[in-house]
Amino acid sequence: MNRTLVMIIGMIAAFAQQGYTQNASSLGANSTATIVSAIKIEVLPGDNSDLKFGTIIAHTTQNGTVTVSPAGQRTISTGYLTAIGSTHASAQFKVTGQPNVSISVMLPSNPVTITSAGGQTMTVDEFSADAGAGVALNDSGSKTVNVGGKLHVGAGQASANYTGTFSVTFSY
Amino acid sequence: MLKEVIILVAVLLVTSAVGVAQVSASLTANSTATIVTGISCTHGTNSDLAFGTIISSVTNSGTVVVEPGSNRSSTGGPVLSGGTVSAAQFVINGQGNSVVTITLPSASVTIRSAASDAMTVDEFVSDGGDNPTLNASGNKVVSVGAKLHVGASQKSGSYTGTFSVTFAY
Repeated sequence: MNRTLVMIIGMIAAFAQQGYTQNASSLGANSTATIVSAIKIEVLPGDNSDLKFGTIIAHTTQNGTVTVSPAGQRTISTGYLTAIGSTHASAQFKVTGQPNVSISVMLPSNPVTITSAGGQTMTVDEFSADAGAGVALNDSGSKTVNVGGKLHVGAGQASANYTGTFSVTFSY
Repeated sequence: MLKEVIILVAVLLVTSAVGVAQVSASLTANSTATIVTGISCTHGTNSDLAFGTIISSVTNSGTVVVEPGSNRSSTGGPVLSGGTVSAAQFVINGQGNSVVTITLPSASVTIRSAASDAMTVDEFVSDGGDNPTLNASGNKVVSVGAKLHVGASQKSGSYTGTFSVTFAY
């Protein structure tokens, strides 16, 4: 990444004139300061960039929820739903920036809608990250943050592939 | 004479390149899920695995095999003698084009007469292969056969028992 080097040079110019009285004496000196701007924060997709809930069998008359934790574990809220296969995963974000600086993570505060080709929808909310208070970029200026969420499956949810998007913001 | 004191004049000269640190960055990711039809199964036209009528040998035990295609054959002492012969049929319903697993009984199954005489049935086999695939409508018919062990002088009677087959995604 590019560093922007900002240098502030302060100079004090001193003027002195010969012939002043002996009860005052002054001398000019330099004063300098250097400021380095922070490496900008950037975020790229991790090895798995999507929050995937995998394959689920809905129930005809009972709704329920499926949660994928930041660690990638999937749990279901009710025995009326069945989660099958192992394609579920949490979303990974690779954050880079100034080494050893604390970062904050802003997750979606509103539910996100995922939609099928036929227009059926489900909502995803309760986004959570494995980066709590005090999380910081490491000595190399990087950190991987994993994000999970909760999927709401309706009674009789139509069989289909559902997809949608959500945004996460990382800040110093 | 007026003494003039020259005051030091300080001039601060500042040069800088304009640069603003970027303090936040956002990324948009996808969220996906797939809902599929649950798997269920019902009996087909022939719900039972039927070995038909068999005459046992006084001195020789043997076996009777009914294949998934409902062909019956025997080895050893038993003699085949008509009756109803069929493999058991199962109709699977689930997500179209999905692959399912079939689990047949691994242990032998006992069938008994009213007088509690017993014979065993084992070597269950299906025509679905290891991982049958449902058709586009999510259906498939699987037939199951097995091998019956008939003892020498096996007592006469109608023998019956049950076995389970499991289909799963």
